[in-house]
Amino acid sequence: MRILIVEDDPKLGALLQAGLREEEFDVEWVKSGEEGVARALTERYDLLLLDYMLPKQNGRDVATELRRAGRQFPILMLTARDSADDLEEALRAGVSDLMGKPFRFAELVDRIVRLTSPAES
Amino acid sequence: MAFSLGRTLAVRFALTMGLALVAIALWAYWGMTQILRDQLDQSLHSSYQVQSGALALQGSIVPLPDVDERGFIEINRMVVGRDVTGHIVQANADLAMDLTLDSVAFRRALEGQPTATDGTWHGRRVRAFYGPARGTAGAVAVLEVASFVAPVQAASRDALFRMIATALLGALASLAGALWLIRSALEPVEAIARQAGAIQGGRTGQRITAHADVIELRGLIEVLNQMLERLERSYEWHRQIVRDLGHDLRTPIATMRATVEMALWTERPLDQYREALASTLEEIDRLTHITDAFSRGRAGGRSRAGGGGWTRHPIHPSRRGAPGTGGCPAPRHRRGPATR
Repeated sequence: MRILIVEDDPKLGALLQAGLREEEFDVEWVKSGEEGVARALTERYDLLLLDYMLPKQNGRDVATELRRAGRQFPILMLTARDSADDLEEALRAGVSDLMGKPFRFAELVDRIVRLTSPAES
Repeated sequence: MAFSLGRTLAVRFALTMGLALVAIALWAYWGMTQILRDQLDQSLHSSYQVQSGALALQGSIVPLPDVDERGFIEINRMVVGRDVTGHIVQANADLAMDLTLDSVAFRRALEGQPTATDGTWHGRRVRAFYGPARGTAGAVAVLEVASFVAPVQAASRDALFRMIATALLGALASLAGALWLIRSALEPVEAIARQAGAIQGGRTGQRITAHADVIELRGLIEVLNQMLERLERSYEWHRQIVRDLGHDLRTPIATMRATVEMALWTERPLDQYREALASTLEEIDRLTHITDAFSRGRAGGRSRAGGGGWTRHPIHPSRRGAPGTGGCPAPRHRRGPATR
């Protein structure tokens, strides 16, 4: 199962990549929204793990652009902003699910599994 | 100490109006007394003309009807004829036979100049007109026509009393009018204050609309609304700062949590635990830096796409550990021999 991580924080990005690899996911990591869009439009992924606060193009804009381009894979957004407005905005942009920071790694894995399971899709 | 602006202004206005009305009343009183005096002089002069004519035609003054003292005072016209020495030789009533003489006016009349003068007679003030007698009837050289001024004074006093009463009533009416006017003028200000008082924090777009169509109040309302707008912007800015702070605190916490969880996920070599601890230490430094910047009020613009935030600074090299240890100081057993 291929997962693309879009996270600008180098430590968190590296940790997520390492942790998910340990869980036997095929993981790639990019550090900006532009890179994420470019990679997601050219390659096939089963899930996009997307940070909300990114330089230049934020997570909401990335999700909007990918949905407009017809990409239907699940998008799990990691965000430190969890107000009702932020959640509504993200869901409107086409995000499948959100996880507030800080999160439990085990729960992240559960969500990924659930979002990518055939019943969910 | 608080005081009522409306009441103060109303009292001042009423006092000013009262003083002005009293001044007008006094001026009118003075003018009226002058007119009454002139009219009395005119009346005395007319009587002089009549009596002078009668004296020329008949050789005697026209007498009053037979009246008592009260009737004499009510008719209020004493006419006497004096000879060149000033002695009374004729009178229109016996009661007038001792009418007082004003020698200056008498002398002028003798010289052909009619003169009016004031004097007292039997303790009462009188106004007298002296004029030369026409013709050569008898020994009368000068005709003196006199009148008590008490009736004129009484009329003047009555008029003055009415004027002062009118002035006082006018002042009271001014006070009532001023109170009504000031209350009407301040009512919109109170309405604006009520609306401003009802504005609650946390709700945006609240503006003062009461009496915004009043030209005199438009400036005040505009200033208040501009102030509300500034407060609203400031509130939004602070809210944004708090939200950004929440975000920037949560990211290092998320990193720390993930680091610790990953470390505990499975059995790992000692170096990986050390690396996890060093990484956590760096995140603690990052959190410390953020909280320090916040407590010193150095909230900076965000470099991220999502909004404002905090500038990240690298940890000072002196605080970093040996390379490859993730910022953690080298363990004691890896250090060189003790120098002590």
